[in-house]
Amino acid sequence: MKLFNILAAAAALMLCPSCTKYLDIKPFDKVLPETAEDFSALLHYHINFIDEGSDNWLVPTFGTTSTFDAAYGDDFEVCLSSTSSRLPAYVGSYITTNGYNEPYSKLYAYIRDANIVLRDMKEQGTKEADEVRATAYAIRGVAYYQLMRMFCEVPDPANLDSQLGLPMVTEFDMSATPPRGNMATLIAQIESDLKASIEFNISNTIYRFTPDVCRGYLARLYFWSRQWDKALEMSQSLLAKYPLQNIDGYQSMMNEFGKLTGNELIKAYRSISTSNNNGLAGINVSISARPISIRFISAFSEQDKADDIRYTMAVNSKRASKKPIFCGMRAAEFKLIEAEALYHLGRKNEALAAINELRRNRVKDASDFTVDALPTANPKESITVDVNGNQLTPLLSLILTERRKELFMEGDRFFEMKRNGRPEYITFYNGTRYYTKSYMYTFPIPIRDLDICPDLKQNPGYTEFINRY
Amino acid sequence: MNKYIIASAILGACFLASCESIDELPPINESTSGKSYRIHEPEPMSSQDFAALNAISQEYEAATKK
Repeated sequence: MKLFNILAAAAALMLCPSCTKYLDIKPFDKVLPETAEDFSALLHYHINFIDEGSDNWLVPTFGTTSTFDAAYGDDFEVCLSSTSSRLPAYVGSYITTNGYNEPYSKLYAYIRDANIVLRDMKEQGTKEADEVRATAYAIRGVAYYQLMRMFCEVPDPANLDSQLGLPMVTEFDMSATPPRGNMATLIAQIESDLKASIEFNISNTIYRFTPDVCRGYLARLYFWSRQWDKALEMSQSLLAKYPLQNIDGYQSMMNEFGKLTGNELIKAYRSISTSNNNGLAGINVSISARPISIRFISAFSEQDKADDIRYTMAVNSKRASKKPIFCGMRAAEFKLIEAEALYHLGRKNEALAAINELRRNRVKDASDFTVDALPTANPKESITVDVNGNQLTPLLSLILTERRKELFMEGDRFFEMKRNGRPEYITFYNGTRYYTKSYMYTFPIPIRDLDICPDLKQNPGYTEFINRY
Repeated sequence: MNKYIIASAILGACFLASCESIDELPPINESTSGKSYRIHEPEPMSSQDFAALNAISQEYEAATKK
């Protein structure tokens, strides 16, 4: 009997360790949510971060926007910063400290959650299911759009098949390690996701990514990828619904914190009031401790410095920025997309008319420019070539300069420099000379991702490692 | 005595059955947490750089002192 007991115990003992995969967590696809309401929680988790101003990448925060504008672009004079500015010296700091790991992993986390919703939500045809599905498509499209601007080179329409895109993950699979696709695939995915979201035609603004917001991102996508005819059509249709604000409207819109107002389509911080936002106070201290550069100041004529609301609202007597930072999307951007698209389509008079219209809404008693009397280009402008690599013409200089003025402190300048020739320049700070080289406008794919997936190709310029510890 | 022999044999069998690959270890990857990409090294400012910095400072002082 004793022997029998020993044998039974031994057999039981052998049963457990001999199963090598009894603790294996595969299959990974056990998803707990069941109803559309359950799945909506997955998306509201991210949307709440936008509303609270703690999502840095889908709709960037004040911190991210101000760092890109005041440290990585050239609108500010780094060498004149006082010690109370905690902003970095240049974009290289972001690369050497591996700061780019965060947007890469966060944006892929949005994509992961969108993929879970799109694959596993079985509920169909109800209003809530449509809203959740539309939002999942929108979030995935916007996340890929943001990743593209940061981690890919500017799309070249002649080489989309050979340009590096991103690892495309459209199905939830924890063990997948896809290589980078090409740019054509990436652009097609973003377009398809945004259009799929628009198809649902949702009206519940609590989901934030409404059909018009998706159309706005489509306009941005077409603009970034030089699909000028589509960019023109999309921007004009949005402008018909969200016309430009005049000087007073612009001023009150830019001063409105939290609430969506004027011709804004989406913005961060909608559930926050200025009074309880301590983070913003710290950012304002850093920004005001770094003067605006003469390069930006010179974009305004002496007359415009007195009459242009964008100058009087943005620059104080010490050249510190006083413009409220805007994190979101508003209609003036579409007017600038319209103007540049018209220019590249050869419709120069209409492009100039678009810019004149914008200026009439920003500059007191503005007189229209004519093709024969365009303003002199800003001699201190870092951008000297356009997105096609051609020298700037006076008209395109005017369009880009108006864009620079309009979207100051809205997170645009670094990407404008990237889009238009990636100018190289030197920054002085604390006795050191820092180089912004052209390859730094495209961030590297994180090292840890290359370790996991050795087939991933790295962006040009990033070949050697250093050990920081 | 038989009891011990049987028990030892069973334990030995357990030992063998529980090891699919006795040398199996998780794949060892070098940690990447301390690594970053080498980019163009910042340099100490030269005398020309200081002259350029002074020009920027003077322009700023002149423009903002009004």
